[in-house]
Amino acid sequence: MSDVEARWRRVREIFDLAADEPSESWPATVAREAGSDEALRAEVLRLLAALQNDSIDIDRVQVDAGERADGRERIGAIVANYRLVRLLGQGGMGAVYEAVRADGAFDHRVAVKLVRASRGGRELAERFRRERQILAALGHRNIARLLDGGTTEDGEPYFVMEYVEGLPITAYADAHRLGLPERLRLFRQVLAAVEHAHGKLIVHRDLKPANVLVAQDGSVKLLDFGVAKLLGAQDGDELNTIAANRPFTPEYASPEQLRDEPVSAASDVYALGVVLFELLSGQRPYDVPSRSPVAVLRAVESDRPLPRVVASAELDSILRKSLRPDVATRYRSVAQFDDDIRRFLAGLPVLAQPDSFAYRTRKFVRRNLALVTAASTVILGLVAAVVLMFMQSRRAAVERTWQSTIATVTALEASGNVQLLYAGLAQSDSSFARANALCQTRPDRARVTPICTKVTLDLGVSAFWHGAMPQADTLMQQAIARARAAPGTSQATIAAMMSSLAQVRDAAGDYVGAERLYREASTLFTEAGANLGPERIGMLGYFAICLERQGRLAEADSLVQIELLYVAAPAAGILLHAAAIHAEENRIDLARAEEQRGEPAARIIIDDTMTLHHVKMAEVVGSLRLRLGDVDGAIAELRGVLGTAERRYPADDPRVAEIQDALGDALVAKHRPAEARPLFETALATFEKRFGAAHPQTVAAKRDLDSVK
Amino acid sequence: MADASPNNGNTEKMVAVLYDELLAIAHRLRRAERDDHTLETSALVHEAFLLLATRHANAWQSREYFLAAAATTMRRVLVSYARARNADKRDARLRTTLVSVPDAFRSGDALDVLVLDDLLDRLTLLDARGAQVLELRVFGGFAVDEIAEILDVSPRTVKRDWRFARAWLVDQLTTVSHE
Repeated sequence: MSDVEARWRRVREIFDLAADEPSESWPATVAREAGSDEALRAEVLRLLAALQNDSIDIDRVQVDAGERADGRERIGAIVANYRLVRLLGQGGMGAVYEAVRADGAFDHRVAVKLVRASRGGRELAERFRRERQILAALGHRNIARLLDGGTTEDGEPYFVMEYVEGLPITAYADAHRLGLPERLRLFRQVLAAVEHAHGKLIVHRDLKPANVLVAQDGSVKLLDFGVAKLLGAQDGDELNTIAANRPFTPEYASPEQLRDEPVSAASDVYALGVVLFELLSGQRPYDVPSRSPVAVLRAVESDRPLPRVVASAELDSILRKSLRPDVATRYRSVAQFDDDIRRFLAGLPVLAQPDSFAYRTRKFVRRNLALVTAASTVILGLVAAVVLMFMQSRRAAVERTWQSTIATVTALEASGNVQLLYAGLAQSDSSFARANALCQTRPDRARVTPICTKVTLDLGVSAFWHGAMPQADTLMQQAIARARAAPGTSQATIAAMMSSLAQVRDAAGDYVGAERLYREASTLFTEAGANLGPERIGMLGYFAICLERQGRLAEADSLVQIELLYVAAPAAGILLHAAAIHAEENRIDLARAEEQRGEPAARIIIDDTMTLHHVKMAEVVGSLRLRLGDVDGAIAELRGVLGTAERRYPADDPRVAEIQDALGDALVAKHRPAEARPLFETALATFEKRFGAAHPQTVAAKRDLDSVK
Repeated sequence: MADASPNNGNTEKMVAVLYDELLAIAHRLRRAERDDHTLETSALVHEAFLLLATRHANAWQSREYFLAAAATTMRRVLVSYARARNADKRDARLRTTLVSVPDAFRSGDALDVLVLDDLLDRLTLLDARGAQVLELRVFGGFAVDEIAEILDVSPRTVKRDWRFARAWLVDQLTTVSHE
C-alpha cells in the first residue's frame, strides 16, 4: 500500500469513527486517533465540518432541456412581416402568438407559432416550399389554414396560421353544457376534417383538445395540421411509413407513436379516441403517474381494463375500439369510426363489438402463440364436431365425441399439456362461446354442465398459472356459480373450487378475501363430512401460507401442525413451499427448518409417484437447496429428478429442459462448467424447438450457455 | 473516468450501446411537451431502463448491472454535452443543483457538470467506491437501498460511503476551490 493510500485510509477510518458520534466529541476523538499528526487531525476535522454544512446539498443533476425564455419577451418582435401582439399559449414545443401584418397594409390577424427545435430548422423553409402544394390541398372549412412557414433570422422555425378564436373542444362542450348527442355531433365535425386530411395523405400526429378549437358559432377548427409533418418530414415520406421522429403529446399519443414506431392514420384514430373519451367523461382513459412516453405506454399496455365511462354499451364499444392498443383491432380508418358514431346516433347497431373473452386473453396467447396453436386445433376440432352433431341431433355420436374429448383432456392432462389445451380453448372465442352455449341451452344440460364447469375452472387455473389473476378470479367464480347451480354437485367439490379461488385472491394480495374463502371452504368441507383427503389438506396448507404471508406465523404453524398429525405426505409439499417462501425472503434458518421437516415426506412422494406436480416439487427442492447454499444437495436432488423425468417424458419435453437448466446452474455454482455445458445445450435446443428463439426461457438458456462457453 | 459497474469487463460495451440510447431518449423527452423544461437524469436513467428492458428483454445481465452502467453513461453524456456547449462559448446549461431549497436558481448555486466530473475523477483515486456511490446518487438518482443492491454492499456501507464522499465534495467546493 502506498503512503498516500495508507494515509487516506486512516483519514477515512477516523472520519467514520468520529462521524458516528455526536459533533461535540469530534475534536476529542480525532485528537485521540490522530495522535501527534497535526495535518491528519486538521484534515479530518475539516471533512467533519463539511458534514454540518447543510447549505450545500448534493442533489440530482438537472438538465435544462431548452431555453427558459419567457414567451412574453417576444411580444412586439417581427416574424416574417408579422408583428407579434399577444401570447396565445406556450408549451414544450414552442409558443404561439397572435400577430398582425407589420406593414399595416391590411388588417389581417394570424397566429404565429415559433417552434423551439434545435434541428431541422434550416431545411424547414425548403421543405415548406416543397410541401406547399400538399398543404394547400388541405383546404377544409374545419382545418385552420397554414399560410406560411420558414425560419427566422436566428434559425428558429415558424409557422403562420389562420387565426382561430375559440375554445378547446372539451372546454367548449362543458361551457355550453352540451348533452351527449350534441357532443357526438360536434366530434363528428372533427372526424370529417381529419378524414379529409387523411385523404390527402396527411396525418396530424398530435391531435388533442388544445388543437381542436370550437368557435363561438359552434364550428370546429383543427390547428397544426401539417406542422408535425413539416417538422419531421423526410424524403419519401408516405402516409403509412412515417418515422415517428417529431413532436407529440404523450397523453394522446398512440402506443405505436410512444414506441417510436411508424405512425399511420390509425394513430390519429387513437388520439381521437382519447379526445372523445375526455369529451364524454371529463377524464382520460388511463391514469398515468408521469407524462413520460414509457410511463404512458406501460399504462396503455397494462392488463388493466379501461374504465367504463358511458352508459350505453354500444358507445362504450365504440370508445374501446378506437382505443385498442393493437392497430389491427382498432378502427382502421376515421371513416369507420365516424360511421359507428353515426349509427349510434341513428339508433342502428354499431360495428364495434364488446371486448371478447378471446380479446382479453389475447395478450397471453400472443406470447405463447406456437404452443397454443397446436392445442387449439385439437380442441377446436372437437368442440366444432360436437356442436355440429348436436345440431344434427346425432346423440350417439355426440356422446362418443364427448367421451373422446374427455379422453383427450385426460391424456393431455397426464402428459402435462393441459395448460396448452385450455390456453388453446381460450384463444378461440367461438369455441368458448359454443361450449358456454352448450352448457346453457341444450336440453341434456345436466350431462354437459360438469364438463363446462371443469373447462371454466381449468381455464381459471391456467390463468392463475400464468399470473393473470383478474381473469383467473372471474373464471373461477363462474365455475363455482355453475357448480352450485347444477343439481347433485357435492359440497366438497364446491369447497375445493373455493379453495382454488382463495389461492388466486392470495396471489393477488387480497389476503382478507382469501382468508374468508378458505374459512368458507373449510366449513363446507366439514358440513360435507369430508375427511382429511388430499384436497382439504392441500387447502389448509395453502391457507397456512396465506397466514404466514401476513406475518401470522403462529396461526399458520398450528394449521400445518394439525395437518401433519393427520397426513404427513401431502403436507410435505406445503412445507417445502413454505420453506421456499422463507428462503425467498432470506429467512434462511426458518427455511432450513421447514425444509428438514417437509423433505423426508416429500421424498416418499417424489420417489414413488412421479407425476407432473411432483417433478415440480423435486425441482423446487433442488432449487431451494441451491438457494440455501447446499450446492451438493441441489446437484444430487436435481440429478435424481432429471433421471426420473427423462424416463417419464419425451427427451425434448420442456420440463426435462427446465430440470437440465436448473442442474446446470447448480453445477456452475459448484465450479463445474464443463459438466453444465451439455445440459444447457440440450435445454436450449429443447426450448428453441418448443418455444422459439425469442421466448424468455430460450433466451435465458442461451445466456446460461454463453456464460460457460 | 471511473466505472460504476460492479463488473468492469463488459461495461465499456454496455456504455457504448447505452450512450446512443440515452441521447435518443433525452431527445425524445425533449420532444414530448413538458411543463418544467428540465429533465432529471434519474428520470432519464429510469426511462432508459424501462425502454431498454422492454426492447431487449433479457439482453442485460441484471438490472443492477444495467443501472450502474446507465449512471456512468449518463455522466459521460452530460459531460460531453457540457463540453460542446462550452466550446460554443454559450452558457453551459447542464448544472448540478447543489442547493436543495426551491427557487435557488441563482447561477452561483449551480455547479457546472464539468467541475463535478473532475472532482469525481479525483475522488476515484482516493476512494473508488465512494466515488461510485456519488456517481450513482448524483447521475443515476438512485436511493441508498438501490445503490446497495447495485454495488452489492450493505445499505449501511453505502450510507457511510455517501457521508464521506459528500463531506469530501463539500470540503473541496468550499475550501480547496477558493484557495
